[in-house]
Amino acid sequence: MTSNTLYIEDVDIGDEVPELVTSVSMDQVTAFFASYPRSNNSPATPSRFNSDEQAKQEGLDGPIIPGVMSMALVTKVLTDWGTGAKFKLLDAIFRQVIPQGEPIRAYAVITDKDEDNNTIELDVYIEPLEGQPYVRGRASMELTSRGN
Amino acid sequence: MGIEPTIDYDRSVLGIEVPGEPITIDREKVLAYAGAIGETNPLFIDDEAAMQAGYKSLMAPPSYINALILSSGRPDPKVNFGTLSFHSGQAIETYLPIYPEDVISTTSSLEEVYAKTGRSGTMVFIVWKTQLFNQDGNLIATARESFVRR
Repeated sequence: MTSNTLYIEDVDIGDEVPELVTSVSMDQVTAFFASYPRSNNSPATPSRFNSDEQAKQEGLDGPIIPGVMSMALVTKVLTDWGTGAKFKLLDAIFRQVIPQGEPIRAYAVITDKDEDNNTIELDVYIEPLEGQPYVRGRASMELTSRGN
Repeated sequence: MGIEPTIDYDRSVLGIEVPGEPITIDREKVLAYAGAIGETNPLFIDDEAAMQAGYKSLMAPPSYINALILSSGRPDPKVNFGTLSFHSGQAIETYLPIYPEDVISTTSSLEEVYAKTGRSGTMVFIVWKTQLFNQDGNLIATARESFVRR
């Protein structure tokens, strides 16, 4: 993550939050679910997230990334942006399933700024490197003010 | 707009706030979650950095509330439609940090179940709202999720 402090006075509508380009493997998805509070180390039931065969039985091309993990990736883009930026809200729609192992791009663009309350609104996206978004939504963050 | 079909489900669940099983936040699980999403923000992985920033210790990444919601359990409305269910969207709003050793309680309620017919046929949407509280009774986050069945 960047170590710079983000000040509300230094950002403007239209600014883009640094993107995250990544791909998510089945091992990462497995580790993600294993980190849940009540998970145990027993083998997971085959699902569209951990089984190519099960995913195909459900009409998918292959295993996919869970929606909650795409929420985590978008949130990480926002919280990695800089110090002093507090996450407030993320409201996202999962428009298409996200295949595992394919490059994806997560980013956000500032759409509104309220200097009285030190908050910004953003549009957020997860997209393939080419094509229509997998995830679209909006977010709200609170930044630090130089005046405080 | 056509008339949407009546949906067969357990209406006794609708609008009822159902408590989930309280969960004590485990530091190792939080760090494992942070690792699984490639988290590098020191507030979520480094006690000292978090304390220097004014927090009492490292805290869970904001999206960790999903791990708590899915782990706390909620009733099955037994929606009798379709064979496949997908998570179609979610809104999360956070108010207070979640720290290791916090005890988080949830209440979930089924907000609505409705059908929508489009070019690809009829789909049924199931919408849940969950509130999360810490051991002091403070509201720390809310989440509204929708699932689609087809």
